Amino acid sequence: MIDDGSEIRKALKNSLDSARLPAEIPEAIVRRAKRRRIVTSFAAGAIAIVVAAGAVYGASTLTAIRAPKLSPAESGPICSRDQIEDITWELSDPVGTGASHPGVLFEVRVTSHDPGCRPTMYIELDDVPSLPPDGEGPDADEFRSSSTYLQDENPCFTTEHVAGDFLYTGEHTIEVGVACDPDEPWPHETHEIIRFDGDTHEQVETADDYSVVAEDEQMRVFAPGNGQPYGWCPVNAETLAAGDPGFAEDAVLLAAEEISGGLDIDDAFVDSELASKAPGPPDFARMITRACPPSLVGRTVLVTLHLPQVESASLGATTYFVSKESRGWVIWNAW
Amino acid sequence: MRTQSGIERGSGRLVRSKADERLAQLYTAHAQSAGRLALLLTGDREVAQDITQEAFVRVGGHLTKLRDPDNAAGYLYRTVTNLAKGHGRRLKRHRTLQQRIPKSDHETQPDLGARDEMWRALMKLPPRHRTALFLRYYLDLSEADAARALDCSPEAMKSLTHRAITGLRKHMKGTSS
Repeated sequence: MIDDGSEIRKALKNSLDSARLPAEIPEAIVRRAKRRRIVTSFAAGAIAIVVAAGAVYGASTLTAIRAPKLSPAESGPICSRDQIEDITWELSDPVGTGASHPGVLFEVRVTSHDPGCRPTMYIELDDVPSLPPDGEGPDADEFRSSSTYLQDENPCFTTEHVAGDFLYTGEHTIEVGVACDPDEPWPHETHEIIRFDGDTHEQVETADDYSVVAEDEQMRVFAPGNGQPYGWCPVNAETLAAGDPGFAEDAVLLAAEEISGGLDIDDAFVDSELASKAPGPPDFARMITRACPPSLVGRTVLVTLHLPQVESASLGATTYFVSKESRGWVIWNAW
Repeated sequence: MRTQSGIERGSGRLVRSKADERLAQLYTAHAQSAGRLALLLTGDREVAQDITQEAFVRVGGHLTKLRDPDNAAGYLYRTVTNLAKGHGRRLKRHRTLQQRIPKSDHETQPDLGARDEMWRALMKLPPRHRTALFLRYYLDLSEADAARALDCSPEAMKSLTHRAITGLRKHMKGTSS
């Protein structure tokens, strides 16, 4: 019985006290935080570059102006979900047509039917590829940083209009939340997810209904039976349906869970550095696990297309390999 | 020798700036608590470690320009909570997918304390409720300090804690019946 909190205290201590992190900060954290600070400070410049690029190529009528953050002087209640009338989207024509790596700018607008409240929106880009479609070309980070800006900073805007981000042409998923709290660092409130392929866009899901997207993007992968614990560990795959990159990262993690028996989810990091060295489309080689256990044999794992620009139709009965790299096991497409 | 990236050759260690040092201090003071909050929110040690690391990276990226620099710990806890909420959302998608493939012999086992009634009830609470209980009963923060950490008013904190305990009672009744 919970009377004075002592039972809660006891339960928490019993369950949590044994969990320990390294006493000293891992240098990986320091390095990543440092890099994040650098990226953020470059972001404004990068946005200017993108805007300039848009102007050079006559991309669109978009103003490409980043919406201002909330200033403390602003007042009035934040519009609730019910007060939001609509979320509208506009995509530019491809920027840099004729260049090797075209992209698009997007614009999102939230409108409210209640003039007394402040519309807010939250934007997160789920799957911005780290490399251009062919894995080569200009430094992708230069382009990513404008998107990173949204993710590194508080992505909650008290505005009805955000525009101007640059994305490589391909399929992407943008998550938009409304009625978010600008004081929260990374809020997750109600969401709408929009998928676009550079030319068209569609809303693929709303709020908590995530099952819709999954329908189109599964592949079943099964091991043929050799199950060797080391070396190459071939896996055959067959495509069940068309791919949807909006789900990519999640599905990669899921596949890692399956392969490693649910024990090594921590090892299934996206690693673009290693991916860039792998044969085939670089973004495809993103799943790394530390083990390729014999138990993989005969099991079904789930893999989802990771590269927006890969035509899903070409992936039927594709062979995948799990191989050992210096830093672990990597699964990649081996055509 | 120091390279442009700030890495000292030979030792392979970072040359730390003031911001790095502040991050290291924040880590020393709050890493264990943040990790345990993440564990409470996710119920999974591996995921909790991921989330904690990511939270430190994110907070470390902003450490020099926090609105309330003295409340970096609060910012850290809120970031952990939000990341855990995001993880929960993604997990929901995973589960949707998993329902479509045959179950294997390697189903993920529930993490620590799964048999404990109180723990199970805690796991059913919304993340913010769990965070409130963690701040009040695990870290033993006062209502005012817990409110500051969650960036809400003491009254809101009181209400949040009350609702969390009510929810806990309800879930415990549910499991025992």
